[in-house]
Amino acid sequence: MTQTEGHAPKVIAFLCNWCSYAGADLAGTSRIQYPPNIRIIRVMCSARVSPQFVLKAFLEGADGVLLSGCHIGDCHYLKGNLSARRKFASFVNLLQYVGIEPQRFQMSWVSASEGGKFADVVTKFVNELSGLGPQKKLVVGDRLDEIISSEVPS
Amino acid sequence: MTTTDPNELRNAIRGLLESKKIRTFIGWEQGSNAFRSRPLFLRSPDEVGNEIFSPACTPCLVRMIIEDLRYPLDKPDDKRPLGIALRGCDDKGVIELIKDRRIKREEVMIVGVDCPGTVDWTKAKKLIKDRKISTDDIVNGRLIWKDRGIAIATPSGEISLEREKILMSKCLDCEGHTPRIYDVLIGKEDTKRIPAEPPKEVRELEARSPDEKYEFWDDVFSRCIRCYACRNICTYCHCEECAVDPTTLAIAADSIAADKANRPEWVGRDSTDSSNGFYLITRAYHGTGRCISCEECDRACPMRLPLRLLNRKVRKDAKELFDYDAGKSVEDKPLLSETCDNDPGGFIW
Repeated sequence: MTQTEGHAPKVIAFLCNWCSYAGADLAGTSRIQYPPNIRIIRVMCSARVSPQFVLKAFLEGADGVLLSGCHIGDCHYLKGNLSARRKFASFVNLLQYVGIEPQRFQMSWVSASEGGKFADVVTKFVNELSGLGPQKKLVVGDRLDEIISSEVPS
Repeated sequence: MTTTDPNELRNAIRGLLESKKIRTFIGWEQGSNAFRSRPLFLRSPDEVGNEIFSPACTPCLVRMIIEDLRYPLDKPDDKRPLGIALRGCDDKGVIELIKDRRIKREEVMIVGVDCPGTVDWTKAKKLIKDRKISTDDIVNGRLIWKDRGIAIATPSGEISLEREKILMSKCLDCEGHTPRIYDVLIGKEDTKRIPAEPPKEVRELEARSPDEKYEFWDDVFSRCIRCYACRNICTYCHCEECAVDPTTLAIAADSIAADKANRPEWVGRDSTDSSNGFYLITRAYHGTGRCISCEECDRACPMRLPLRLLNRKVRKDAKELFDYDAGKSVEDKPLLSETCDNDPGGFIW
């Protein structure tokens, strides 16, 4: 386990059923080590993931969101990953524009045979997030705690 | 100067209503003072007379098409087209509605007008104070286009106003005075199309660090009161079911309270910074390749939030990433409904 000291980031990973989920499975069966910080949500296609999913994850307290699908040309539904790429190309820019660090959202293409690549992607992603610390910009509630605790007379 | 003659416009509207070619005409009428106007719905030739066309005609009327289709005050089975006055910037909204298959081209009768720029009431208020223009002139005066600028015509004479200090920011970056699509054009066609420059204020904001950007947007998000005025005036936010407002989601006539309570909720109705952020970011994102930068959201916002900065950003991205202009042509496919092997993908591992 490559758990860095201090902050252990919470990562939500949306993996496509046909490639990346199988890739993650291969990483597991091949006993390749990768950080345990990710919570995997299996989706049928990377195109199933709407930018709202990503925002919602951040609101619910995710420190980072990973979206992974089949390589271009390998999509089970032919054009799903192309569609996801186009959707998120502009969305990542918008996220950065409102002040979310670019490292907090990542897309990757991982095929069913790339268990090693999946482990590498997760390791690199989690390492980058550990350096950033907790995501407090969009999460609901955190700020509220701060305000409430600051107003309680001591 | 405009080449649109108000009398010619009036006669054209009267002619269209008299010949019963259209069921309603949407134009502008004078508002509470010289600088303001509001949408006007004309339903019969007798009502013609109050419509105006002046620098005060700031509202973009495209949203009124949706409102009229949604709640027709005429007979609902009246299939005649809807007449509407359009300027060089509003036509993009109609093109987007056609591309979204919300309306058909033949459902609107477009009366093109030549608009050299309209006033921004927020800027006007400041100018009124600086120039000490009397209340009487503001209430009773009428705005006119004069040479390259704008003037208030009052009984005692004309007061000219500086173009840069009073026009809407979108008008200062105007791409062309007359619409690209129209059925009738009142005035002379503006043949020179100036491609809009990438907005400076967006570039300036992009150059900041993530924390500085967040500081700016957190302030914006925290002031939002979630009144949805920006959504309700928007030309692209015309969905019957809104993702961020579960009260609009379709329910059957026999839905019980528990069903209504269990409607999917992306974001609560609480107005915390996060929820407001979710709403504003989502709304801006839904404008990718659809926002025409009419800046009505900016104008409608009761909290004076700089919402144009979000929408101009997605418009700029659509242009830079995909070389896509919303509202360019009805022949274009909606941006996110198409894919291409050469789309940018450098951000993917």
